[in-house]
Amino acid sequence: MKPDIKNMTKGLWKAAILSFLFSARLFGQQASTEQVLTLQVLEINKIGINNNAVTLIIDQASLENGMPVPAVNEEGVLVWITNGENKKITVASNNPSPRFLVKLVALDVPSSAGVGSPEVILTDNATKDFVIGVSKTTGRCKIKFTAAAKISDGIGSETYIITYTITGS
Amino acid sequence: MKKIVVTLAAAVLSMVVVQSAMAQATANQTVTLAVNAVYKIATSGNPSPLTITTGTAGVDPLTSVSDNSTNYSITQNVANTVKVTAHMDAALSAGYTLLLGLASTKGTSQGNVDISNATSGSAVDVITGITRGADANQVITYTFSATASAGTLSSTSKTVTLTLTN
Repeated sequence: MKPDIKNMTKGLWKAAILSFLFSARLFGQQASTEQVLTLQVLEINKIGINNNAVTLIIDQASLENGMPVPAVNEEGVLVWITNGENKKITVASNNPSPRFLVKLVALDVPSSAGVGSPEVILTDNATKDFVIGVSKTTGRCKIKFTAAAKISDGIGSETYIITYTITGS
Repeated sequence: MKKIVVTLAAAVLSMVVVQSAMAQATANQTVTLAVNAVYKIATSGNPSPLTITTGTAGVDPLTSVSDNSTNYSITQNVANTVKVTAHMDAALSAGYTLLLGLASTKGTSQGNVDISNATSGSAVDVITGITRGADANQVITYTFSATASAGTLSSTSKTVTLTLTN
């Protein structure tokens, strides 16, 4: 009887060890495969405006000095994005010799998106800085237009095509 | 008397022949059968380059790009709880995101899983509960996205490892 119990105990131990080894083998096994990916992000510069047509009408004059009252418009919103560095936004008019005085300035430029330049006067068709210090960011600002005229400018209308460009500084 | 002797002799001879005909021999063989644990996974190749080329003014996330031109196949006989994990050789920098999605008919796809920060010590599950059997030519989808504030990224190779494990 005693040898039987001894044999059974031995058998159980063997079974337990085999079971453990078998489980360890199963859990330890795995298979792998690889893929090589090529990732790239190109430089991207985008700029847009929500208000493509702005009309400024000077139709009042000051009773104090008799000068026409400038017309102001702040409805335009400029938005931009760049993942490049050291960029700026420039503005240019297509009118080399404007009859009226047109000025514009960027309002509410987030500090993370750049720095608005002082008010730009479109005296010619030269390109001028509008927002500087633009790097790896998205931004938006209001565009404040001011149109002024002298009495001697007379009456009439003039169309300007204003171009905003995001470019290297 | 002679006739009886001949008859008896014939009968004895007949019994000997019959006994000889009924004699047989057997041989035994022990055949040992085993099926080892089998784990196999393979892919069809490398995906096309993932290049981000555009975005929308005023929106920080750039337009993401995807590739689903490759596929994978698996075979396993181990369990019904097998899974596929994924990791990269190195994590992506902040602002860049790589999603991996594996279709599956034998298990539960975890959808598009973010593997941007999954390295060898932190592999992520992409398929779980894979049952025994084979699943062939299932689509692998990569989606790469980036923010403008992360900047540009020159062409960079990343190795993605898919592991079939229990």
